[in-house]
Amino acid sequence: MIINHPLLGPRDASEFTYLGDASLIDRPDPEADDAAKQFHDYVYLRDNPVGEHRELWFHEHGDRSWLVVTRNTLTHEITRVELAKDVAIARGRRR
Amino acid sequence: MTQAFRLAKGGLVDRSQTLEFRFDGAAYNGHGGDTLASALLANGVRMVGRSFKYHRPRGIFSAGSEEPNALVELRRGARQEPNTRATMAELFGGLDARSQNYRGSLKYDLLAVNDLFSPFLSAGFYYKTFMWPKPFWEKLYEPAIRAAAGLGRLSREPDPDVYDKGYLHCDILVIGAGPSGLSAALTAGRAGVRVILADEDFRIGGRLNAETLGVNDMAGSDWADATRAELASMDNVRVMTRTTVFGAYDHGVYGAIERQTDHLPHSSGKPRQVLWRIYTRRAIVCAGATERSIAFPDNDRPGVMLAGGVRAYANRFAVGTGRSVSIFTNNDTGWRTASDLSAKGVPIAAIIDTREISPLAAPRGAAVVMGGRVTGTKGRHCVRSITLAGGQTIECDCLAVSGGWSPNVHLTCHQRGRPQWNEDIAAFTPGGDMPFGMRVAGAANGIYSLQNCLADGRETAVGILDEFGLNPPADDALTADEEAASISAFWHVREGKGRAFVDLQNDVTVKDIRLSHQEGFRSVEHLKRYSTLGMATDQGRTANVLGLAILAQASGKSIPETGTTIFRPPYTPVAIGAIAGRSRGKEFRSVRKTPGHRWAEKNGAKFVESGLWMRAQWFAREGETHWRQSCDREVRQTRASVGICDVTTLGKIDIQGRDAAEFVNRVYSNGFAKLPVGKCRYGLVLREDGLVMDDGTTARLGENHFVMTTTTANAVTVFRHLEFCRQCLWPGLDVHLISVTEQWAQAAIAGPNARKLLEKLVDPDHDISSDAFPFMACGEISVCGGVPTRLFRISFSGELAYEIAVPARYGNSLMAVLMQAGEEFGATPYGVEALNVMRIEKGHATGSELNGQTSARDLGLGRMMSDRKDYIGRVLSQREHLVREDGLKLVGFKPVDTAQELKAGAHFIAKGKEMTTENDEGWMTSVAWSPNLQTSIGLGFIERGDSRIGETVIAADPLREKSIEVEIVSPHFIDPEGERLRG
Amino acid sequence: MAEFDLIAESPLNGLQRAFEGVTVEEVSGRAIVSVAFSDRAGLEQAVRTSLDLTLPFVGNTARVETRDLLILSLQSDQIFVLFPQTGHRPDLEIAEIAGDQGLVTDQSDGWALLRVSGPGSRTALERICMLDLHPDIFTVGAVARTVMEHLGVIIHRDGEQSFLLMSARSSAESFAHAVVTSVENVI
Repeated sequence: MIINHPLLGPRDASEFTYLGDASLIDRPDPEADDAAKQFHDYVYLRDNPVGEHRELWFHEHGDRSWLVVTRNTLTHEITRVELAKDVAIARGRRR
Repeated sequence: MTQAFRLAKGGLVDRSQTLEFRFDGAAYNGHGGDTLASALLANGVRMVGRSFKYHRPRGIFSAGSEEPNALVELRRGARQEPNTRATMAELFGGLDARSQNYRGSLKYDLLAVNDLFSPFLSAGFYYKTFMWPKPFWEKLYEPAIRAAAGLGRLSREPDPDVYDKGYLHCDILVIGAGPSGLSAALTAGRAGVRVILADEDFRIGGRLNAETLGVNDMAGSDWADATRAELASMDNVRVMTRTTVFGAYDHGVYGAIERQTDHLPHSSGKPRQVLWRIYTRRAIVCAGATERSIAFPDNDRPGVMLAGGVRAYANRFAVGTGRSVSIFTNNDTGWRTASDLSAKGVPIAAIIDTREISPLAAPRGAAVVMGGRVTGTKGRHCVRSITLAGGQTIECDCLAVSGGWSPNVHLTCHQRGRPQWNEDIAAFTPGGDMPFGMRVAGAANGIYSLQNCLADGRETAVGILDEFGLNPPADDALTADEEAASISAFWHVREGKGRAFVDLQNDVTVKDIRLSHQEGFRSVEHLKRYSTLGMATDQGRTANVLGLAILAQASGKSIPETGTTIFRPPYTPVAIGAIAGRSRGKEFRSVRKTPGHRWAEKNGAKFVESGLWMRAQWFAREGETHWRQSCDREVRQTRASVGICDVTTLGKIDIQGRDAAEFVNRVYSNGFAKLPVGKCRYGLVLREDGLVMDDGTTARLGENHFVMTTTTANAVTVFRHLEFCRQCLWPGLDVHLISVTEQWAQAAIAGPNARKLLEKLVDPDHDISSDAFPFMACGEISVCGGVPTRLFRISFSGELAYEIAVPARYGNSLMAVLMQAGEEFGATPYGVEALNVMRIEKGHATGSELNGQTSARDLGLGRMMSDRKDYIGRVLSQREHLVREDGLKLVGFKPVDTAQELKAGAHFIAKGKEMTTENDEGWMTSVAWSPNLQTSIGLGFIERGDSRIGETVIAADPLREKSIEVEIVSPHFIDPEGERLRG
Repeated sequence: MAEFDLIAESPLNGLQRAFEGVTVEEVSGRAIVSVAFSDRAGLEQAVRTSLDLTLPFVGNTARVETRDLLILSLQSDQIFVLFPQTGHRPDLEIAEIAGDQGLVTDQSDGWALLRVSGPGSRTALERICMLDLHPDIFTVGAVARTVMEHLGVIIHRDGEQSFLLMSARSSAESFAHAVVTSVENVI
């Protein structure tokens, strides 16, 4: 597999480490009233779609950036690769 | 040693070069440019093996990689390689080959009796015949079947050859160097894009070498040769012969195997084969087509061959495959065999064409039977005569059969592409869903005339150039000889007795297919698995289409309705050795050594692999014969005076930035925000699920500068986790990370004399007295005249201890210098065994306790979970199950009878209870012999352990059949108040 | 001279192997300092002022010939600076250049450096490097961090036929073995 890194261009997937669903960026608010339930869902519940899936990959043998890769789980087609940091900021994560 | 069947002239063999080889012990001669198969045929060797199930005599069937029959063992000793296709083995002087799959001799195989039992060996016989009685399967049936069936034998010795891997990149990969591949490569090459042209053959040209058709008024093979020369002269083109592209993988990545030395007597230490990963923007599959047979009774006799193969032997190798050849065909290409052979002086006995059309031009003297069918063959070890439907018998010693051609669609299927039936050519052509960037040209795309193949290759390349935004080079308008290629599908002859084989390699007959259908195996996928059609090394290259056509007829459906199985990589077999490449034995993985490794080696260290790291396990002194002697001495000497241990392997992460303190505070469960500069603190990193991920000491070197240590095993995981937190969770924090594990060589100096030893090295402007540098102090100092040093007053052993870090280049010297300075104190180096003993004596956790299933509370570190801040893992660490009072607790254990030895992995059961899972209360994680306490001691988790000190339980070890009574004690066996480390 | 002296050793003990068309040699005496930054423009200004240099983007390098200094841009927020090792604290030398715009970390001892050069170097590296080293793609001056034989490697093309490879010190022997084997397998 080839991941087209937004800064470095196409790189072999063996330079990367896979983590999982990109929803891991959305760490719940620990102060929320239902924080325990939200964290439970955050840690344990995942969609397992046939088709498009947004997932986190770490460029361990590269620039050490976390990426959000949009990959079709059926065809392995990768339609989008973003820096996870940019995605996190766009989702309102800051400090 | 005559080559009686070698034609007087012609061919692409080098007659000036005579190569001697052996087959089944007999010596023969061949020429340069021969394959083993062509050389055997040149010598009149017709029978080359026995079939898989029935042990029927078999001969060479084809002239290419599709060969189902001629599987031989090559070479001797450890280099013996079974199941090598004689049609692909390039001849060299001294080649030693043997036939396979017989007992006794090839001609008088004792297992040929299987053929008489054939009624019992029909489709699915494994599943039916050997059902009962059940124990017979393992004890009798399976061993007997395995001995009788199966193909070649392994040498059972390690493969002495070396293999390698490699990575290639190109704009266009052209797979196959026949007419369409050459035409495509030429077009792309001339346009200046990066091209790789790969072909499994050792000679470029594909069917151009096997046919007599010309290109541009040159012989086809000459044109191929000229084109190869032009391509080889281009910097942007790489021509790879003996290279099979065997798999199409995601995103334009292809796997290829290059046989670099298989054609040489010796590989001379160079890689025998290279497994290439080829990255492409586009690929053009020009893999050609494979001829298939027609099923008729006794169609497996040596001498029955594919007509295209017979043509290849005559035209390319100058070998006549018989003294008198007959042709059985359903298409025009069979007639070409007749004319080509006749032109070379090989008599044609008859042409039998299943079609009711007017005959094509037949050679003089050949009988022509239109609408004819072969209903049987005769001859013991080679065909002697054939019988036709009308009862007519024709004498001949070779029958060339053509049932039509199947495009080699394999690579197009590797990502679930499904071929489509094309009635015009009675074959499957590539379907719509191609792997990324793949195009197909020429015969692989169902285009069968040479002129059209040349044009299709060029057009396909032009199309790709257009996608690249490039102009095609000027068209040099390749022209080729005309040829006829029409076909009318004909699959099998219904008349006659005897078995009609479909799949020669697996001994699958027409009857087997009908039987499978009758028994309900109606889908092609089921048929394949039940009958074994299309399995094994040739993957049914000559058999699949024939088989499913027969299934279609049996079920009264059309071929498109019946469908086809698809193909997975590899296209042809790939040796496991090539897949392993260099990753064998010691080179399976890399080795990490600390800078002090050489010093340790010289000083008697025995090493243990810890992940990739080599760590000193103990340092044997003269006279010590057992590791425990060394270990006990190291422990005693450290606790009595001073010991030195290389701890470089611990992970070290440099954390800097305005928000460094905030960041560290969030990833540790305990507070770090207020850690003063110049101090260290022990911290726990939790996973978000609330369980412990790792532990270690973090030092604050400056207001915005921390150095975190991780365990050796988790260094990479923790770094990844920190980067996740930094980039994905808190992208707004100003913090930066870099690993400094490799930068610093680090040693622990432990024992009452640790400070005295250290003071001898520390430069005079640094004060390390207990007042100036108390327990948990850290600082940047210098030693030995200005060498920058990081000093941490931390202790894993429980003694007065320091960890000293110097730049790695000094690491080897540091060990020597520490020992030199420690000489007056009797300093000892100690290894991980002594380290382990001392940490167990202190009740410190390591990987055995931090096993990914334990919480801070389990470890007795509940107080390290801050309730004044958020941190990773906080919310879920408060889950009901993780905070229950009766949960597991880490405590110490001692045997009640101190003569007994504790075992890690033992489970705790209350006395008098049965050893069952229900009664399991916990387990022993770590054990050691304590030379200080003169008893075996252990750490372990047990329910409510902290409130059960003094109680005795059974440490049950049913696996090792040893269960002993143990007392629950405090995990702090030595100096529970920690007075020593503050000294 | 102090009573106790620490002696420096290079990771590969000065390895040097010459083959037909390819030379593999250890490069030593280079200080390596990483500089992390949060504000690229800020660091760029600092570098321009003190070195008269534009900060390269990821995958590129910049050279200051007069100081024999090489900047490798490896991450969007981190560069490596290579220069002759003269003192004990190269990190402080770079901190002076970066000012408060860069966070420096001494990496000089963490890496083993190998130069593979000669007409056969690309062919040899094909056996372990999955990056496209075609001179039009991986041009002179290019740098990348990748993996070879499971080991992390920084590769920099410092000449038409010359590559500087950096890999972790602890596994340097395995790495050098992988490189030398690659050369031996193709010559």
